Amino acid sequence: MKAPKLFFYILLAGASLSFLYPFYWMLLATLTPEAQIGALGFLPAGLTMDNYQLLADKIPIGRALLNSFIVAALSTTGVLVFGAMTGYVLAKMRFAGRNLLFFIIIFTMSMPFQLTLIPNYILMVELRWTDTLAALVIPALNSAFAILLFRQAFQSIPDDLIHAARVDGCSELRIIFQILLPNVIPAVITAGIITFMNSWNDVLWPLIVIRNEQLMTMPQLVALFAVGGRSEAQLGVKLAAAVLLALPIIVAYAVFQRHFIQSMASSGLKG
Amino acid sequence: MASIRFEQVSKRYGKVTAVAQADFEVKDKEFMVLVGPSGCGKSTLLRMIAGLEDISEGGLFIGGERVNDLPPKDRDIAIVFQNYALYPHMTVYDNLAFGLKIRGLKKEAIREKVLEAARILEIEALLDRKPKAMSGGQLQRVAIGRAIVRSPKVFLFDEPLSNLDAKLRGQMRLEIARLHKKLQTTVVYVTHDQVEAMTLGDRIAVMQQGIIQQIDTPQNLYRRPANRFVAGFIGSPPMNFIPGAINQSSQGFVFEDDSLTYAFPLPASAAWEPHTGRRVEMGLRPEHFSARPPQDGLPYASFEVEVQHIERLGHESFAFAQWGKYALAARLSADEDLEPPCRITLWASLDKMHFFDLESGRAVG
Repeated sequence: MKAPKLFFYILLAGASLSFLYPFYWMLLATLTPEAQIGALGFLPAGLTMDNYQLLADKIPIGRALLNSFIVAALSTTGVLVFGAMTGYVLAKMRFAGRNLLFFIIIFTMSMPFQLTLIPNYILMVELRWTDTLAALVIPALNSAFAILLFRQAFQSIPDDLIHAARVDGCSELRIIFQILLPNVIPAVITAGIITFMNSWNDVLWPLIVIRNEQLMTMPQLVALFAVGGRSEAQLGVKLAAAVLLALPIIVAYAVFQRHFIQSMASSGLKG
Repeated sequence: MASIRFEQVSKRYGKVTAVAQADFEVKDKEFMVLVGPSGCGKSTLLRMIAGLEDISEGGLFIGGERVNDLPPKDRDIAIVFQNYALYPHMTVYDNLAFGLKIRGLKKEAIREKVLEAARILEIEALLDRKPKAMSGGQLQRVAIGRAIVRSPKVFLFDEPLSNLDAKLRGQMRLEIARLHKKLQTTVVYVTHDQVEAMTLGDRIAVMQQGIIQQIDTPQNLYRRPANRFVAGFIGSPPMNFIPGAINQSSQGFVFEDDSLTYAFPLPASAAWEPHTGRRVEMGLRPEHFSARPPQDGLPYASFEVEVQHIERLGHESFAFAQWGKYALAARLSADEDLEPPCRITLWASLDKMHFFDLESGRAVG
């Protein structure tokens, strides 16, 4: 191996270590008795599951995990179904105002979420959806980003494929879900991953509309727990909560690694 | 099996008229070819039969039933697209079976029909493959298979051979003709290729700018083009046109070219009378020239030309020559050993000449 290349690899290894070490340390700390965490280095110092046990005793972490899964799964399904339908209409159907509609949808992407926070909250109150999972799921059932992604993907599919399906007897819904979606799998995965991650990591909106601890999502519960004083300044328990919060995304990343990278690259957005 | 009848059918996109008052019938079991240059409205006409384009005006009847408002799936038609339009994520078997599945056929019945279609088109070995693993010719066979598997009343072909290379195109042309004979189904076939049109069609509709110029058998289109456009469109290289006028002289009617250098006597006929003094174009096909005087005793004309270029095709040659101020193309026997530039005399029977009114383009005489 040539010297410059070796140097390059050492540099890369150093950079990776600097990223990975905090994760490693966090994981190790959750498995270490509280008293030893302060002096923790590279090597484990006494293994214990006490931090996780304590966490489970203090907050309904299992319930929060389930809530997060329900909300993220339903939102993602909704975004894929309705995003694809809206994208199809904008890509392949001709009607007056189509482009205007598309530009309005794009415009909403440029508005910060905080801007619509209050009106959305008022709407939830009016609909009596506060303190229900409906407040987390229903507003997240479609997204401008997914619409844009599907519209672009469907535009690249020749019209004749749709015509052939129509002659074969397909309804519009069947065209979308049986003919088009299987041919834009990268877009489906991109929209799916990004929506799931956004929903999983969202803290602000759940904090606004959910008060009932039994209905809280993981990040919300963990955030309240970590900064709200209930962790009693115990670092090990806080970190255990953080590990449980990050774990599903890390597992998902391990499974969909290739698609993750592809989706980040193709969307030009960070989740 | 069914006939297709157009009654004053028009298609407009805003202010643009894509098809204007099409009024004709495709008979049961007939092979009708719609031919014309790009943008002439032939594909729009085809897509109106399929139900993929709305009809702005007029009535469309398939098998006697008005289908203007019938969705594509209820018209009992099948269409083969230029880019095949096979479902990329399905195997060939599933591509063929898809339409039947949607129509609720039993698995066994579907299997039987798919295998039968695959046998007819000799694509049995491809049934497990996906479209991306196949060549253009194979894709086209599968696309045709998807059309025949449903045994529809009408087959529609939208430039199906345009994406194939010349050799494969010739081969598939033969197969489509063979298939039509075997299946005895009404076919409407769109192409811009006049060879496909001439070889496949029982009748051909020549279109230009949304208007059907002439509908006739291939032979009649070639022999008796209704107007200058049809005359120029059918034939390769295209017909030669010489502008001039029909005049009356002491010997009868003559055609005189614009430069008044050449004059050809016209056959005695009262048909010239209304066109006397009017500007016309004389049309003569390249294949009606000969480098030797005709021996059949019919009156002929001679053309002193300067050959500037020659294309040798082996079995024949095309000479591109200058006759006065006019450029002429002539098909000559391969035996003519010409080394351009050179001067030769070309001959053509007077009865092969066509005349078209310069203003309206209509055939006269």
